[in-house]
Amino acid sequence: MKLHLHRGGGTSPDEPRRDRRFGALLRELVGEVPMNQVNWDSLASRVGAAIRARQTPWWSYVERWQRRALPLALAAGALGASVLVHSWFTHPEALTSLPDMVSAVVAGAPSEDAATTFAHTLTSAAVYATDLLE
Amino acid sequence: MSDPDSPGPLEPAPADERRATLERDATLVRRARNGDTTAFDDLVKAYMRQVFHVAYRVVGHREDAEDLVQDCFIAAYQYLDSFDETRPFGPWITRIVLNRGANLRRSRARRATEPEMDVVSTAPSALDEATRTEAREKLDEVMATLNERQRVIVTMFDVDGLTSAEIGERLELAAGTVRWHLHEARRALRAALHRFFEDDA
Repeated sequence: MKLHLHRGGGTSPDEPRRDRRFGALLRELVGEVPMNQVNWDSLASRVGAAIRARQTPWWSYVERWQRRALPLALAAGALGASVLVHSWFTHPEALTSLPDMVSAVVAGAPSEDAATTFAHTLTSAAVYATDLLE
Repeated sequence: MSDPDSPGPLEPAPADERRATLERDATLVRRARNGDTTAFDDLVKAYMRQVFHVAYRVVGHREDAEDLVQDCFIAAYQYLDSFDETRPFGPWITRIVLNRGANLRRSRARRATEPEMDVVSTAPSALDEATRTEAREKLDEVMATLNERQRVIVTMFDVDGLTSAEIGERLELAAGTVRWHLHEARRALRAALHRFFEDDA
């Protein structure tokens, strides 16, 4: 069986002529786009949910680095502790200022002075640690 | 903002409307780049019908077309930084559909799933079942030799009734380029399908 249709005309001189027989055959074979069968609200929600699910929340970075960061933090803590303990024996005067600072603040000394003293302590410890590593 | 329920422009939008759409989309894209997903939701609502239309013309299957729409919007969101705000958003996402649709169509062809028969024209068929099956096989064969652009253009022109200017606006192609692709696609399809319809001449 064959289709019996007539050629249609174009809408402008440049526009290709519309071949209705050819169009009808194609339409029958490929069909109309089923726009009315799509639940658009559902599709929009689905797309939105998929995009939100793919976003990376900030805590996922913490989770990702947790396994590596924990041993590193422990190692750094142990190193810091050993440096402090070591410096206690070699430069005891450098570490006396921490309890001094606490007592000074408790006694009502200006916190800036106490902080300066403590900063000196940390600097001494850092210089010592650098010497140790070198 | 245009009515999101409309199936998309059937005529080329006037210059003022085009400019307003361009500005709206640029604003939405900037907001989406800054992490405002609701702005991207608005882009999805504005373009999903147009994207679905092209997606369906590429894969020929409603559920696959819906999956393709979702996949393309996700890709668009991921690559939003590469979008040029001075260009219209519609053709950009349409290009994503054409590129990604080609892959999906090929994988679907490997699964050899039949097209949805219930969405094929509701008009009474002029072909008997055997001829129709044969014609469809021939059509699939020829369509496979065309590129995505030609396949979409010929169906948009000859089935959906869009003009070359309307298709050009959707695909961001010059009308002359659309006509050239149309000519090539029609030549291949007519040669293959000629015996399934009678020539009046």
